[in-house]
Amino acid sequence: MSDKRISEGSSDESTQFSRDKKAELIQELPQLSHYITEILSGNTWHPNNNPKGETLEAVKKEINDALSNEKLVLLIVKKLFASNILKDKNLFDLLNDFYLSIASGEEIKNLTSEILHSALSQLEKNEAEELLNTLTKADNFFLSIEYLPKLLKKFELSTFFAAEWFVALLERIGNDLASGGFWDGLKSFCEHFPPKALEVIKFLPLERASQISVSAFLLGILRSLDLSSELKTEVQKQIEIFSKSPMPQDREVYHRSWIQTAWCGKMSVHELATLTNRMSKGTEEERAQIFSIVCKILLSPKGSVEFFSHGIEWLLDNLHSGLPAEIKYCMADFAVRVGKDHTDTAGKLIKRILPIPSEHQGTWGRIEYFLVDLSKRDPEEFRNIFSSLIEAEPQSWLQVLQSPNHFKYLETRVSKDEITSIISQLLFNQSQDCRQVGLNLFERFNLETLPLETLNSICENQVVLVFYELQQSVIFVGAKTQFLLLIVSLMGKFKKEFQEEIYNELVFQLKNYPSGCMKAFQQHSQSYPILQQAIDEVDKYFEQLKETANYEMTTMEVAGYRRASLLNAKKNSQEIAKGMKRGSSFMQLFKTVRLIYGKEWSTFHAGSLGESSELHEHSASFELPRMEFINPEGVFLRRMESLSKVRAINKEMQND
Amino acid sequence: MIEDRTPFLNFYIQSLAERTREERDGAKFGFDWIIYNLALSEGLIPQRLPFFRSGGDETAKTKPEAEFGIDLAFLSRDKTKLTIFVLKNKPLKNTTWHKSKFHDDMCDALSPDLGSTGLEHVKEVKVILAYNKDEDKNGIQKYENFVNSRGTKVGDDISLSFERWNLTKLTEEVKEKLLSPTLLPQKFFSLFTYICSQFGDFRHGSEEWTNQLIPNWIRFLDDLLKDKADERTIRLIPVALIILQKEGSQNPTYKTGWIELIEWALLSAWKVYRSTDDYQVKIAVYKLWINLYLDELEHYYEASTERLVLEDGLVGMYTGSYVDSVAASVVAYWHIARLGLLCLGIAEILPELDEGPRKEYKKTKQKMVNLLVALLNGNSAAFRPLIDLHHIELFLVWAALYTNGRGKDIYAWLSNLQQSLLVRRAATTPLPFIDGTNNLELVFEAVATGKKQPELCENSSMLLLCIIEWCFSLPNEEQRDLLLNRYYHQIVHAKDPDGTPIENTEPIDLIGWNPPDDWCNKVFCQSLAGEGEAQSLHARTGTEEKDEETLAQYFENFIQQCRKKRTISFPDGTPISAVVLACLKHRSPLPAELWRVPIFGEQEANQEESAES
Repeated sequence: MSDKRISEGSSDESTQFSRDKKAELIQELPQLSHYITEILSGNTWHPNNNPKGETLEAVKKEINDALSNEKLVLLIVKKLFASNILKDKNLFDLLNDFYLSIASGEEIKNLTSEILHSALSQLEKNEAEELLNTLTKADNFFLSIEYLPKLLKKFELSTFFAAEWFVALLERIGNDLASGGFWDGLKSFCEHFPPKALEVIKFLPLERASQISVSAFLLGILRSLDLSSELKTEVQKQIEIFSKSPMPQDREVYHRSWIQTAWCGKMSVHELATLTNRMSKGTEEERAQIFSIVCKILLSPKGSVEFFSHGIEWLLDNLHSGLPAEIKYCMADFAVRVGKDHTDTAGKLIKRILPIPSEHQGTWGRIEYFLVDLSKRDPEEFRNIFSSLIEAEPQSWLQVLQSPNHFKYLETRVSKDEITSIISQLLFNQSQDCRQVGLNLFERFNLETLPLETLNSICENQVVLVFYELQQSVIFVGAKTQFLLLIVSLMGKFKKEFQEEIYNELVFQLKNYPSGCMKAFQQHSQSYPILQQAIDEVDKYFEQLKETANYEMTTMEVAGYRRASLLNAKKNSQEIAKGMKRGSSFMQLFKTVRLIYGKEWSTFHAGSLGESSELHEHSASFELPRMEFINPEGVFLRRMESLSKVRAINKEMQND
Repeated sequence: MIEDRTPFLNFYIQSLAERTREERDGAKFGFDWIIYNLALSEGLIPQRLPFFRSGGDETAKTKPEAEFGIDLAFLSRDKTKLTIFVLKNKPLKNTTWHKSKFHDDMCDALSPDLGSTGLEHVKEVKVILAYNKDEDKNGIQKYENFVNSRGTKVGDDISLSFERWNLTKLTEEVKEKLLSPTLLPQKFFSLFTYICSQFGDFRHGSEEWTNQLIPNWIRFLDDLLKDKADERTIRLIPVALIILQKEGSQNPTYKTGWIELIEWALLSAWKVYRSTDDYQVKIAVYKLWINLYLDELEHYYEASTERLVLEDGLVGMYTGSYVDSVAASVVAYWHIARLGLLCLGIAEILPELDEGPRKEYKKTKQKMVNLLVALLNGNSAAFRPLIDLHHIELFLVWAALYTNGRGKDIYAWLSNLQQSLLVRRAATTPLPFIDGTNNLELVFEAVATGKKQPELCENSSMLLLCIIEWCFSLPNEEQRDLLLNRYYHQIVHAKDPDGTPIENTEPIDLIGWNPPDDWCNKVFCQSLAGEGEAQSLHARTGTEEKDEETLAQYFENFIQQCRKKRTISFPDGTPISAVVLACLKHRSPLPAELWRVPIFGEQEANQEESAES
């Protein structure tokens, strides 16, 4: 607690809290231990950094002693604030500093909550509520809401204020996940002041989502409480009103209230069945909401096995591929949460929501997380589930895998050994899309070979199929080359016609990637004469092109070419920059400054000029397929030809 | 490349007058200017000239004084040697010796006034009789007799010698010392010198080439051939080109660039051909077409065979983008056009040749058709027409194959072309479909930025209609119908081979074109793209067409009606290949009669026109 901090924003002279005054007050509290004295003096305490050697246990004991001694708390408050309690957000800032002054949280949090309650109790009700209203403006808002569970146990709010304040707090929280303190506080309020909670429900208008959330939460808790029969009847009446209301918002409160009831362990299988049955027959919105409500209900730690099984069964019966994106996300998220204990169920749920468009990155991100987590926990199950998910909707997987930003996490966290067998299975699969996914994964995981047992067991037609897939695929030179080498290593097994096709492909790829492909093939040319033969043919081709390069028929210029090349280069560099920004978390966080001059740089920040740093150049290069630009139509037709060959073979195989 | 420049120089020098002078119907170029420049190139100092030297773009004015046999006289640097030129633009014969004043002028030339200022140190006099025609034995004898009778001295101390420069000697001298812009008449010197330097600097096809050199060259040609161009001016064209060839030889693209300059020159010459009644001029133009243009193309492609038959041999520029594909196509179409023109040009002259040369030319033609086919086989860019006007190049391919009876090749070529076009029609590559506005810049921009400008027109095409009509040249009706269906359904109506409509496409409107009535006069001068009549073919939806009418019948019906409506005539005496070249250079569409006549026979006379006549 620094002087500067305390005086900041406090315009009222009487509420000034100076270090001198505080020191004076501390002198008058002989019963305070060294620890509290230190804290009140504005110092921090950490078990690893306390010169007087106080143990954490000793400190905790002292705080607990203080907590159990209301008088002491009151005395601290009185002495801390004298007769002038801070009446604005500074109070919370001050308390937050107090709270953060110790490394261990729970005890000091309780003590801080106690101090807050004590301070509020000394104010008039309206003053106290006015002060609470400033909480949304506290510098460390999310820390401040941690005091609510303790505070709302004891401090009774007026109905009007509670209704408005809860909604304001929830809206301040927004989408932040650190909202536990708020919901626990709401629960405390409900448990300790149920009639007030009921009044709040009745009072709250249901115009905004936050109002519906607060009402539903309170109603769910109230339903689960052991209330007096009179209050219970009233609550029941309110539930009936919501349940039967023609207004969709009212019904939403009713439906969502079951989440809290379930989390309190008070929802039965029958009630779950009734709820799902009722919502399934409801409006379109209700039919969409039901999935997220059921998921949240099933995440309750207090649900029985039967309860959980019933819910899952319902989900599996009702999930389908045509659901909206947000439901699919919700299901993927649910699968991640239940996946640890119910792997098979999670896999089935994900399978139900496939296909998922590749642009739904959030949903795919959850699935990726599930798979990575599973690969660490149970590699065997990972292989089963991952391949079954791909086989279920290979087209969807292909699309998402073709986008370079997806599944990077999986790529870095799952080892080659864990995935090789899946790739083998996919490569020689009956489904064309599965084979394409296999090739994509073959590239992503930089595989060089496949398990020997797979290579020994496959027949020529399977290789032919994947060979044609390779011709159609858009994978990069490295993977293409490796795969061709793999096929060359099996050459002896194949018929002459297929061997010729392989040779033509080798020649084509050597012309297509004269650098990458050539290098890789040259390394293996001693082992496989066919590679040397192809290299010789292509060498001749390039040699002739080189010899005749000076013919003016290729040196003549084309009007517009230079400008178009510049435009194209500009467009590419813009796309690369955009892609870099999209793909790099750092670049998204920081502002990019274009240093238009110099070869060193420094920054002037917070009043000081930093040290100079040298600029470093980073570059990456890759080989573009040459034939794509020389003969774009031909390359496409080649792919189409492969595709029709694949279809013909598939048909043949089916007939067989 | 023209290895032997002598004939062109010969023709030119032979065609010159004795003196350069302005006449009522334009400038007459004389070889006095050549002699003057030859002397300057030897370091001699003019002592007597027949004209007043003047500004760069003017014709020198003739001096109205008596020459006394001496047309030009020059002093050596040390002023001891006087060289006197006696010029005659007549052949040296017994009959002309006196009649054309060879004798008189030579006698006069032997008596220079050596006492006049500047000649006091002269110790040697050389008299050169220069004539830009041939001679006969008697003429030479006359000359020899004359020389022998004159002794070896002028006065007591000054030695006298004679030389005789006939056409051959003059040509040799020019070839050796004067292949530069100075060879041309003085009025063209400055512009031509500028053109020479641009030809040396600008790469063929570059923007500078297109926007600076070509307009300058056309201006030069216009200046040269304006007024009533005569044989001399026509003969001057190859001389200018030969000089350009020499001046630009350091430019790595000068060979193709030179061909392009020849083409513009030939177009100007054909304009003269159409406007003149002078038979000699017509012959001179025709000879230029064959001996300069067609022969040059032949030499060029003979020398380039190795590269043309090479797989991807025309791919020069490579930046790793689809912009390269567009550039490769432009280059490929340039060569297709020249090879096609060569094949067509040779085919046209064959009937007029004697047996010996006909055999030779026939061989050449066969070779060039094979080369064209090799180019098509080796370069995918040849199957990538980018703009609608590329129908000219495609026509030339068709014509080359058709006139050689290569029906199977026509089928294979059209079939492959359809496959390539289908890929682009389905927008599976970033290359746009054929641009109907014929704007290559738009095509480049679309490929470079990935965005098509609204001006880019992919929905109207004459090129496709041309191809459809060429299908009728196939002898096999089954093949014809197969191709017609593929082009009409898959390309025009954008359906995949299964008949499923290709997404985000609309049918293309087929456009026919009839040239304007006066097109014969205009075709060599300007673009006809904005003239004549465009005919839009209503797309067959499948519901309203007559049930029994096949696609072939539908198009035949259209063609018949077009031909009935109007008779198209071709410029008299002008080779079709020259007309096609004119369309190519001026960016005019081709009249469909070019292929309809060989495919469907001669056109029936327009009924109305016949009645009126």
